[in-house]
Amino acid sequence: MDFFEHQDVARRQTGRLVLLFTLAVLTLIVAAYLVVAGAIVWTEAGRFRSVWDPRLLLAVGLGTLAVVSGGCLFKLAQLRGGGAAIAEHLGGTLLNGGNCDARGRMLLNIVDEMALASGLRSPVVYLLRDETGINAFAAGWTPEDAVIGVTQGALERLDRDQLQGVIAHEFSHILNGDMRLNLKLVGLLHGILVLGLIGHGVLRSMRVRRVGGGRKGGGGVAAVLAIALGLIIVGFGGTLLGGLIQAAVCRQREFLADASAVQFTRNPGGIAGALKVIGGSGSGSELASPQAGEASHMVFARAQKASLASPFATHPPLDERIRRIEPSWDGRYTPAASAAPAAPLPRASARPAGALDPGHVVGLVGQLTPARIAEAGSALAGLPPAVADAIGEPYGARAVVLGLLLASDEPTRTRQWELLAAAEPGLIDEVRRVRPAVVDLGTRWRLPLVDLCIAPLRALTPAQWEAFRALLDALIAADRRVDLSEWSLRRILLRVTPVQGQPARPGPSIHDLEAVRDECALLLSSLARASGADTEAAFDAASRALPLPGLTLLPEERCDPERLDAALDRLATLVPLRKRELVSACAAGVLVDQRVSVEEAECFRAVAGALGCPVPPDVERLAAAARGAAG
Amino acid sequence: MSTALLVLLALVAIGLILIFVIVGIFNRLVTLKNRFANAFAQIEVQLKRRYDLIPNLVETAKGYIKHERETLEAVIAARNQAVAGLGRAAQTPTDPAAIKALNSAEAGLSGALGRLFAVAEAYPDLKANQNMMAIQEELTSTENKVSFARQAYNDAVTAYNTYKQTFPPVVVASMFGHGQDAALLEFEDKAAIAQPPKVAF
Repeated sequence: MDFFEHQDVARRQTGRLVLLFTLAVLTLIVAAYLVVAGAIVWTEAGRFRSVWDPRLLLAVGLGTLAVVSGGCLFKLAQLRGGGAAIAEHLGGTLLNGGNCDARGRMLLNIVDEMALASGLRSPVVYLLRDETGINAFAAGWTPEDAVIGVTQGALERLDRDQLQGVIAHEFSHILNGDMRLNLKLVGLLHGILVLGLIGHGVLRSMRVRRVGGGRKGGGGVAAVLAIALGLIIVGFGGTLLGGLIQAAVCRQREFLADASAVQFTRNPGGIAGALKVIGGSGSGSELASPQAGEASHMVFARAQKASLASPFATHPPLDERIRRIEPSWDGRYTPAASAAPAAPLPRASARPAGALDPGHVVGLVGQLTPARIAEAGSALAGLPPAVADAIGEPYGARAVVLGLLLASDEPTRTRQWELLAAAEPGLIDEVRRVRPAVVDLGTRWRLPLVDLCIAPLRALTPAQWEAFRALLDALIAADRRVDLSEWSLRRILLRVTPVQGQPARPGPSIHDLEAVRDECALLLSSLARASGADTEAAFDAASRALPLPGLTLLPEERCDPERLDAALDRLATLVPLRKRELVSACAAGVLVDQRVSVEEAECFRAVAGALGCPVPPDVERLAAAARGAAG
Repeated sequence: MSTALLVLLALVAIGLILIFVIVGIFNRLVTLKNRFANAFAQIEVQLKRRYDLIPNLVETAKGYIKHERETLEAVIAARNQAVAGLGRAAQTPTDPAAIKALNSAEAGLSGALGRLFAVAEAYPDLKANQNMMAIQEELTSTENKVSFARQAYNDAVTAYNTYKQTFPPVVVASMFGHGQDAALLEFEDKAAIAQPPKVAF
């Protein structure tokens, strides 16, 4: 299965989720009805009547629905903050080059390597400093607001290969479209769990009051106590059902992520080793945060102690996961604090031959291979120190991006320097410092550098981000036109969401290409016009590849950047299998003359990225360019 | 079904809505507080770097400025005070008193540095010293980063203070231990660098 098929499966899980959720709510209503009816029969024992009372059922049903939907809406409102909101809720702190030690640096390197190798914008990394268990998670509505969270325990007790295995597992969740499903699940689960939570809350607050206030109004207390107990009983049913849903929806995705991690790193020792260390350490993978329950299906390994509900565990048992990766495993966990040395990573293999057909390009989307990761690692290691330091933290990352935007012609550049000086005097020194190294890296590094800068840039506060955005737009507009490379760069930066802001939620899915006919025509026309070669031929090749007959090449003046941005936003909501057709058509257009300039390739990557389909850059040439610039 | 039961159900429903709202407010307050505490960690890194540079600066200047011992000593004293202030603020970045103390220590340091640079104007050899120029350069770049990180911290603090003062939170904030407004970092980090000796390029 390729990227698009995995995404499609994840999307269809949503339907299953809704069905299970409906069943769970119906069960909750019945349980609540039985508890309430039982209570009434019990209190009115003198005048017994039938347990069946439709009006009571209606009242209880509506009440339960109100509570459940209230709980869901409350949680979903909280989740508007996206992946960052989850990480902060679990007590995470944002990690960047400026505030971490050597091991934190290593973690950031692992994440950057994998982002560079897959063509994904670098996700923000959160460290859960108070968590000693070994665990990790990926969360976000889209890859653009993805965050990866790692516990302090994982950072301290896993070696590099094991940590890489865990991060590869999380990247699989990002690439396979599991994160959105997981977030929806968090929202729905909260609705189901909320009855029990309220019951516990009421009990706890009553205990507090009992200690403080003595005995007053015994009857009222008894009534409240009874309600709380009823809520807890019904809530327990909710917990069981919630666990069942988490298990039904998530277990297969966990196996898939484990398998992908092996495929990405071709190093079963990494992820299996991490699982063994979890099995062998005292605190295992448990999370101490009280908020862990509702997030327990999106972490790397089980976050909560085994309980009554463990037949419905969110994660398959460790043994089973390890055996699937290492069939010959002897069943022994790695004792704590002595991580086994893992096999070295295989080095890059030969380049795939015959790279220039659309099918091959589509096959590359969202894929990671060990060779790519290794090459990405050496490309990053080869970066000049000035650049490597700068892209590690927000202050320098801004300078790198601005440095990339400075024009090559003198008058425009002078104008741009003036704009910079007017905006923030300190920044101009930093830009002046990093620009020579950035320019030396060549055009091939332009977009990969921007991708790497995304994570630190997302650490800007919304106000700082707005100021930076305005400066970017001003620099781009300095020569009164938007060229291809500027457009690609701007397109990527347009969708950056600061971790303190609210990420854009994807709209409802579009299932049919016919519904986006105009957008398709605009996209293919713009790409054909940008190709620089034979516009007609490029457009013909692209539109033939798309199962949407009768598209016509739009005139130059209708292909303006603003309209293209809007079209891409809409096309990004296509279902995965339709996206594959669209990306394939774009590739056919770009490859029609068998010559692909760096600008063209980057433009294609920016478009595919905007559609949510990360296309890996040519990491081998990146590594070569980095060595060239450093040497 | 009796009216009493209906009333009870209505009360329970209202209670639930209240609980949702209050839990939401509580969570938001905690998030916003954590954010500015984390933002302080960022500025701490930069301020430390700044404080580490100052002894080097003084050491280099000592070789040239013979007759201005008090000025040099004042810089070191102000620097030590600022280091202590930073240590206290880093432990409890949510305590407005600690932040205000850091503000005044920083103001003292800026003043002392400003006087040192004014004195240095009279020593052309010092201004031409390679080491001095390198430290100056490093100090300037650190100043810029401090100012940037301070901006982020102040944004986060403002978001917290503003949220606390809007309607529903203002009722319950003090009950949850969010009574006090967080303090802004208000030192003039540009003062020391505003009139540096014009090192020739």
